[in-house]
Amino acid sequence: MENSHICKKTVYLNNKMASAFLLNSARKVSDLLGIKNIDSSLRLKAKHYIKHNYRDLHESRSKQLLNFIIDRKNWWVILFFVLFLFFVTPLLNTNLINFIEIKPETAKSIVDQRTANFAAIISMTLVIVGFLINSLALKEPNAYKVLFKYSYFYPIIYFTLCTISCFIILSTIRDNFTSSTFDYFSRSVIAGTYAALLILILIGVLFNRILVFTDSKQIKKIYHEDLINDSKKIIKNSLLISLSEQYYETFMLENKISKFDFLEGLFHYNVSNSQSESADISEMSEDQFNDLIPVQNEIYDINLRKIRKYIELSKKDKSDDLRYKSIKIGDFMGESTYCISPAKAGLNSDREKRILNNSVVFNKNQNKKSSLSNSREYFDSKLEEAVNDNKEKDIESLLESYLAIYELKNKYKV
Amino acid sequence: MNSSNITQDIDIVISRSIKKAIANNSIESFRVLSRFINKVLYMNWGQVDTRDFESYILFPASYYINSISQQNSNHNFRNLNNECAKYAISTLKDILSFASYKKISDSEIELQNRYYYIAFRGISQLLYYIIRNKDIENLEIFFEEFRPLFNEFAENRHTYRYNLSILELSNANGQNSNQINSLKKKYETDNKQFIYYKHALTGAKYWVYFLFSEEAIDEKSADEFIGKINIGNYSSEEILKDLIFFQNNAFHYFYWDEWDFMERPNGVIYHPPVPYNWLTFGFVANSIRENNFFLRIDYLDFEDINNAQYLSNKVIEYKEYFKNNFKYWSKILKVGSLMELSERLDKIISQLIQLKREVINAEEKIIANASLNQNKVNDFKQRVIDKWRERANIHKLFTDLSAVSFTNDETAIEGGIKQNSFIQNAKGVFTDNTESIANLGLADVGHAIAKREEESFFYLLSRKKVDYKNNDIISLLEGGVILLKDRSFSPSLIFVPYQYRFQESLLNNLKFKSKKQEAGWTHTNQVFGYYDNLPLYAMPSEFLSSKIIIADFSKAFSLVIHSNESLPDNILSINVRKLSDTEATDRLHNEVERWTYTEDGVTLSDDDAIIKIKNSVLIELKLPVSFQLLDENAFVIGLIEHE
Repeated sequence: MENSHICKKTVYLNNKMASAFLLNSARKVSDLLGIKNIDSSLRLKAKHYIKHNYRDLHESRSKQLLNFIIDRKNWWVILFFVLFLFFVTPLLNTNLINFIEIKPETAKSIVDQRTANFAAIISMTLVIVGFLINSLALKEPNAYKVLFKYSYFYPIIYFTLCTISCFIILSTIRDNFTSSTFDYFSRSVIAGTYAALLILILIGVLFNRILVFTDSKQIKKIYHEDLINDSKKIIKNSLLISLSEQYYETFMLENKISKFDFLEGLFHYNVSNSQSESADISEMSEDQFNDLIPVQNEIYDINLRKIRKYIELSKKDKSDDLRYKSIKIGDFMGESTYCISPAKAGLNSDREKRILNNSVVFNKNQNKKSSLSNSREYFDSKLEEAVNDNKEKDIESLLESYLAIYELKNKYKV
Repeated sequence: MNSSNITQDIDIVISRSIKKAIANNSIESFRVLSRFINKVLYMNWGQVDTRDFESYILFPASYYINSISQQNSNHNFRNLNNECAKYAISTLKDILSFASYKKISDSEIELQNRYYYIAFRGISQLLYYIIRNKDIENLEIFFEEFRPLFNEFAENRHTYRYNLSILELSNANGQNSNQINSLKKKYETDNKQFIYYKHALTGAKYWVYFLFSEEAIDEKSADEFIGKINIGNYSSEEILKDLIFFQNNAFHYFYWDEWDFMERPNGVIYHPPVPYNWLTFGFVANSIRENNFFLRIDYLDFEDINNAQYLSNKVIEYKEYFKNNFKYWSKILKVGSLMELSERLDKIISQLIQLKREVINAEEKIIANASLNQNKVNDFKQRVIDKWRERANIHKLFTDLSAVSFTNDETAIEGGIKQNSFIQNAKGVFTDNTESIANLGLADVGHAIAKREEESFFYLLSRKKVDYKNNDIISLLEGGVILLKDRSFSPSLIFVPYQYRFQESLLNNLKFKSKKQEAGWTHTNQVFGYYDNLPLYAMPSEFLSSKIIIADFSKAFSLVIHSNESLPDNILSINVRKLSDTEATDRLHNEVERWTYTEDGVTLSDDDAIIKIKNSVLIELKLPVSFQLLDENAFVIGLIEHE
């Protein structure tokens, strides 16, 4: 009985995590492409302002896309791309692929050869990469982390592996193609060949970028850039938070809604609303207790259009004034807490609750990061290390980076 | 990324690194780190967010004391220690020099002053550690380094004072007052750094005196420190003003509340020395040592004087301490004999007591010369009339019973009924600079005149002979009625002494009918019942004690009012006035002792005493009425004999 309960819970959690993951990914993509409406999304509105007023902080869309692709966690993008290349582009029957003519036999032998070629290329690449990494100027965990990120190691390897997989699949099913589908097969092979050529270029890029890491000065420069970029992200984030708060307050002001006042709330608090009369005293298990604690989630975005709809609805239904609670992006809030409610009764109808539930978007997948960025933590530990070893030059260069952070702080006044 | 502060905790890392560099005795690492601190300080000066500057400004003091503690355990640290002291002093000096050359707009002055305060907090902290370490050598370096800057401050001050005195000299008619005020204001805001500098040094100097009193510093070092910490030449008023400022702001000012001279003991409730106490102690000790305390009270604001009242008592307290510990203190205070110490202390005390006296005068001077606010006077008059009406029972009785006659002849009323009150210290109530008069009960003079009116009526009756006596109230009442009826008058009312309201023999008598059950009756009503259908008036008059009066009222008495109008709304005339100079002088001559000796044992000069007298007010009330006996047979007076 208990086991099945645990099982259900695990499945439930897995589903929840998966859906949160998908939701987050979709959100990132839609943010990236700017699909959402600026009038409804507070986050987008704030971002829009930052984009136009703090150009230095804003990354170009291509840079954002690149960063998105090189993120280790976004392997699925590459997978989709390769699958698309191999199996969808041949259907499109474009001239780009068609201008090369390949006979069925040639195509079959190419597939076999490519698979073998790739195995050789991959092993060679990995050996060389391994050798290069071995001769890294600074051998420390952070250096590897930065190296993998800076050299685009993950996307290149993902791309290569996906391509091999596709070739293996093609090679395995090559005899299943009939004369009617042979054109499709040969176009797939050509598309794969293009991918193979691309891999060769990418491997070149990979070597080139890894080579930089044999020079300690270059590594330090990259560290510095990393620190500055992280700091810029924090600045952007805090600007986003403060702007979101500002916009939210202005929005409420425009709609003539006053702020929730604790004393006023206390004054209108209706005892009959509470369940104290029917209070039932019984022992509580730990699970029950945990269930009672409201789950606090980080606010990701606030949908102003929905809130406006709520206000209109509420004004139509009741004569009661509305009061709003001050919230901003990044705040933690319980899901059943409402950011706006009538002043006296303090209760919303089911329909209103539904609208309000959808008006605040939570970031359920938040990970409890330390308040410092990884690069800052690295610099902090490095400085103490350098002081310990009396390396004045190292101290000086690390402190230069700190000064740059102070400069940034003063520049953006955050 | 959850952090909203990108520089978060960098200061902690730097602090740890500096400690490490000092522990490693690594001068080079220390230099690099301290240069970084300088750069951050320069970079952050003037930023809206002061937090970074606030934390970095304390670094010099902290690495100085850090290196000292290392040196105390290991002498190899001497060079590093020197380096730390040198850097600490120069960092603080450089940031101030940097600020003084930085051009700022008027709108930034306030922020700039905030930075100056923070910077001097760092300096004050360094001085605290230097003193704690008895590091006279570095104190000398400190003053050497800061001299040009301090001289610049002094020069600014000199220019300011010069300009101010020029303006003041040609200000006989007050034509420059605005200019003087704006100059003062501008100097105060533009030269806040100078004030902070003075305060930081004063605090450090007073701290040394305190340390010496706690035996936490030896005589030689204390003497040297006090000698070296040269604040500059200031008038006693300025020093006193600073002390008053400390009194009001000292608690967290310059982190003085954290200054301590001993390790905090474990397991005992303990708090570091209270800044206000040690600052006052330091002030007294320094005033004795310098022997130049001379207050010019005119230079102090009223508020300052008000705030300094407590001081003389405090100094009197310390006088005992210094006398008891004369030997211990003689060198520090630079006094040769106990007598000299007493003399110096007495001089300070007498001036501070003077201040206490001045407290009264500064306020009184304004009031003494002020004229009365007519609105307040009118308001007061209305209150007096209301009060009079409230209690004018006898007057009301006469009007109710139509026993009133009017006359144009003033002599007929024999001067009327007067009530003149000389009320000391009450003038302030009627001048512009004080608040409501409602709470002071002055309007009760209205009650007093009503009482006087009543008394004058009963006084008139008390002089008439008693017609008959008895020890029983009922017999008296019965007898009186018969007597009056025998004289062919019909009695219309009876006056009984107030206490007879509760006389059981009367209340239980069958002929008595209480009025208490009637609607509208209250305790203030004089008629408390009827005897044989005659109203019984209980009058609280001294002249009516033990007497009852039965009268055919309208035939017996009349109230003569001097007025042309038949039924005036108000006949009470009120005059509120201030005392003229001659009146004040007369009063002084009549009562010299009353006006010239104060509770504190101070003798006032004649001028001051006159000011005190002129703070009084005269309230003259007059009722133009007199009571007349129309027919002495129309009433009988019975005396209650007590057994």
